Amino acid sequence: MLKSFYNSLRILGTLLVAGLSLSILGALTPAQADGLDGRFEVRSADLELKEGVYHLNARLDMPVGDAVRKGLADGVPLGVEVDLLVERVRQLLPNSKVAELTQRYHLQYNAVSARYILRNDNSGQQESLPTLETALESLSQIHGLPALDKSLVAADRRYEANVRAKIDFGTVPLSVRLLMFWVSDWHRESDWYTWTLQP
Amino acid sequence: MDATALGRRYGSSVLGASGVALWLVALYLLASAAQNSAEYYKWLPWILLINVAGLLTLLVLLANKLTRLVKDFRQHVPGSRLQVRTIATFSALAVVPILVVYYFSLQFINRGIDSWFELEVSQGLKDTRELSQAALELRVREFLQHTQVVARELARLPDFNLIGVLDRERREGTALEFTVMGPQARILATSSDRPMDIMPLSATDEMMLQIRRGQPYVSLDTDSVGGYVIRAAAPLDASGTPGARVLLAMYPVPQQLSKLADTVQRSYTQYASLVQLRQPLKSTFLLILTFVVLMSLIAAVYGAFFAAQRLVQPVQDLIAATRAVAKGNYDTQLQRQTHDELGFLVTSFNDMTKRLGRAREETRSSQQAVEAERAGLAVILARLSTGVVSLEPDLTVRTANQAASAILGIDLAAAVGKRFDHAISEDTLFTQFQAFVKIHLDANNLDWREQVELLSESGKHVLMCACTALPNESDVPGVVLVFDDITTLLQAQRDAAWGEVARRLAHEIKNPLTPIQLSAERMRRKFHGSMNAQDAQILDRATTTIVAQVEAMKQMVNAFSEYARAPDMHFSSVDLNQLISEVVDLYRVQDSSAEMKLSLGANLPSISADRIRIRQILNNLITNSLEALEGRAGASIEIDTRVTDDTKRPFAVISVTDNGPGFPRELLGTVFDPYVTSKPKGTGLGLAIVKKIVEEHGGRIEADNARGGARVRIFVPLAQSNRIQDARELRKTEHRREQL
Repeated sequence: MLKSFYNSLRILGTLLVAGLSLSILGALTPAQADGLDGRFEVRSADLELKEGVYHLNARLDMPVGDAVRKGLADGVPLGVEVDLLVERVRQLLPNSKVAELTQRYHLQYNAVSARYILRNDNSGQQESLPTLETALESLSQIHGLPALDKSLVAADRRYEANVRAKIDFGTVPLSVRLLMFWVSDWHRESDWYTWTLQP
Repeated sequence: MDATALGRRYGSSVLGASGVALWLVALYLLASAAQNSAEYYKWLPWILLINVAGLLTLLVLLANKLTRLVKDFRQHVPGSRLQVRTIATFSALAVVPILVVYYFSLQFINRGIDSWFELEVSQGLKDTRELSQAALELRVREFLQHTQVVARELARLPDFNLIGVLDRERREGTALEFTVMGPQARILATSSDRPMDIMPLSATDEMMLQIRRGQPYVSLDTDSVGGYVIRAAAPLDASGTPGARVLLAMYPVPQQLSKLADTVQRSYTQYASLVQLRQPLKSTFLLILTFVVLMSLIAAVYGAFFAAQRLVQPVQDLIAATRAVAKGNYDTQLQRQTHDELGFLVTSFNDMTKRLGRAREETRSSQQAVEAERAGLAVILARLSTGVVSLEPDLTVRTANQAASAILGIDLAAAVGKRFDHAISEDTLFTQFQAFVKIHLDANNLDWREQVELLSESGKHVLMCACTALPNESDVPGVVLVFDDITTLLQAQRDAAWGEVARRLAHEIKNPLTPIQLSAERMRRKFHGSMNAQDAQILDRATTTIVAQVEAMKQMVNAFSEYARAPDMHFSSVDLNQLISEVVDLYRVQDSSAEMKLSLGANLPSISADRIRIRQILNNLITNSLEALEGRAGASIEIDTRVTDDTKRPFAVISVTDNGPGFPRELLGTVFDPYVTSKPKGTGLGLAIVKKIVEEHGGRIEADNARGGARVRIFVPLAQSNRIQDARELRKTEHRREQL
């Protein structure tokens, strides 16, 4: 009796574990292959003072492999969000926020016009690009983005500027994204790129 | 019940119920989150954490239950096999349907999601896109040609005349805007139908690269509001000319066409996104399904444990209670928790234990009464002077009291449990008694009463023995032997009889002797002178004989008188050792035919006794020994004194031993009777008088054979003088009363 009970439990447990393992493996493997892959970071960034306004120049390394390029070519959108945070450095106290800016970009292939549309979601401006390479090159470069008025920073203070980028691949509905919480390849986030701002 | 016991008892159930409740809440929240993502998105980690915690809780509880079940099963805990069977059945009933549902759900998810991406849909979208592109391509070419035509027309004009032609061409055609760009991207002229809304067209890098190659440029673009426009560019001047001018044009796409193209684009994009989601979505659904099924399985198995435990617990309680009752704990009561058949069983069990408890109490009381009676009987038997021996049907000695051991001269307590006829192998009183009893038992005579005489070194023992069958249910009953040593009683009866004889002799014979003697002497005096010599001689001999015999009879009667009457005793403190030395010294002087050896105890205290009587005893005993040793070489008489070891009632012991022929064995039991003697001369009253004197002193006398000769031992109590005196006075009074 005990032996048959043990055997039943063993068979049941084996089936459960095998089924669960196959399901998890089957679920995880393709998702990782189709997602964002590669290095994603802010390679360089600086604030350039022009006519009393600091303009942001930045360069991003995009984590787009072949699967993402294929997805983009098929019409899957790619969103990039750039966060700029300027803080005043204080002794013995936490830094105080001086300025914060978020800029969102949206890249999508238009199948009818066969062109890549890069749109600045903040300004509504968009750019039509003939190839994916030019589109990605344009997306990875931020040039002359007005970021901070000079009057907000004092010459005798010390400031720290931070830039971070986020990337989202695909227009995943929130409910679906909720269910696919365990798939991390839809969304990537770079580390903060920090430098000292000298007014 | 303290907190620890409560926690131990209900902790698992509370934890299990909490885990299941938490899990149900988490599942509900997860389902709600899928439907209302915005609201629950921030709570998602917590919901997931609760789900995982619920799963882990159930797993831990299940592992705990399983471990305990296996342990119980291996230790053969009552009810564990039934519990295993119940759990296996319940689990199978719950798990199999869940697994079937799981299998079909897997198939449904796989095929359902795959059906969204059927080939026809994908191909249809592609065809639609190509159709749209084809429809727009025609217009793009038309507008490119129109732009080139306008550019050729403008090429001939100077810069300041461009604006007029541009306006005309725009108004006559369908263009939204015309702009001529000069060197360094300077706008030379522009014409737009919405001059206030839109900045003039500017050349893109792509556009200028194409122009520099001398090729016109055209593209279908989207505007900022989602509509479609066609941008075109054509050089006004020949390629490679410095400061060449370029005509930029923008044409609208008809609104209907633009909407259709936009719809196609959106559908295409959505489908691409869905295709991108296809595999992760399947995996996600499978994972969530597996997670829920796994939790359902664990919950079902845990529920099976719970249900089985609830079902088996009363049975386990009953088994445990039955074992407790089997061990004698009749106070066991079970708590009735249900009113079903099990509840009825519990009630019946409780009634049974109550009845058993009452019966046990009654049995215990009866047993205690029996034990008390047995203990009392044992005390009585121990104190009885009558020997009692009980035998099993197979003649095994069951009990034997102390008196039996004393009478038969062995320790019968050691024979308990052994067969009666094999208990002792030596030739003792017991073996004679055994043989006597066995004769009756072999003849299957179980109820008899008989007197038996047994011989030992100390003389003849007379036992009055009775045998009775014990009540027994079996065919062969045990027997009880009751016997009493009546030797002393018989001796006392003989002593009393001899005393009566002596007293009557003294009274009835002594009185006529004197007249006989006087008459004979008178007869001789009266007739001796008047007879002839011959007759006188005859008369003289006859009267002399009569007088002599009468004198002899007087002496005999006096001796009997002395034996019969209670002598006057004059008690005083007597040093026995000194008295013995004095007597022995006299004999040593008078008669040296036997060696007199003394071994006197140094610690012998003085006794209260009649000095003259004790001397008489010693004289009698020494005289007897000397007479027995007459004519023997190496004759010796040994007299020793000592004190017995009995500290409660100590005796002074005088032992007179010779190395003569000893007492004849057949006379050993009667040597103290009157007229019992082995000597050719003597009255046979010597030892009888000695015994009487000893008994007057409250002591006793024993005769046996030792060292090859006769031995007589006298036991005189050391501290009984007052009581002896009283007893002696009482006997004297009785004697006088009898004489009167």
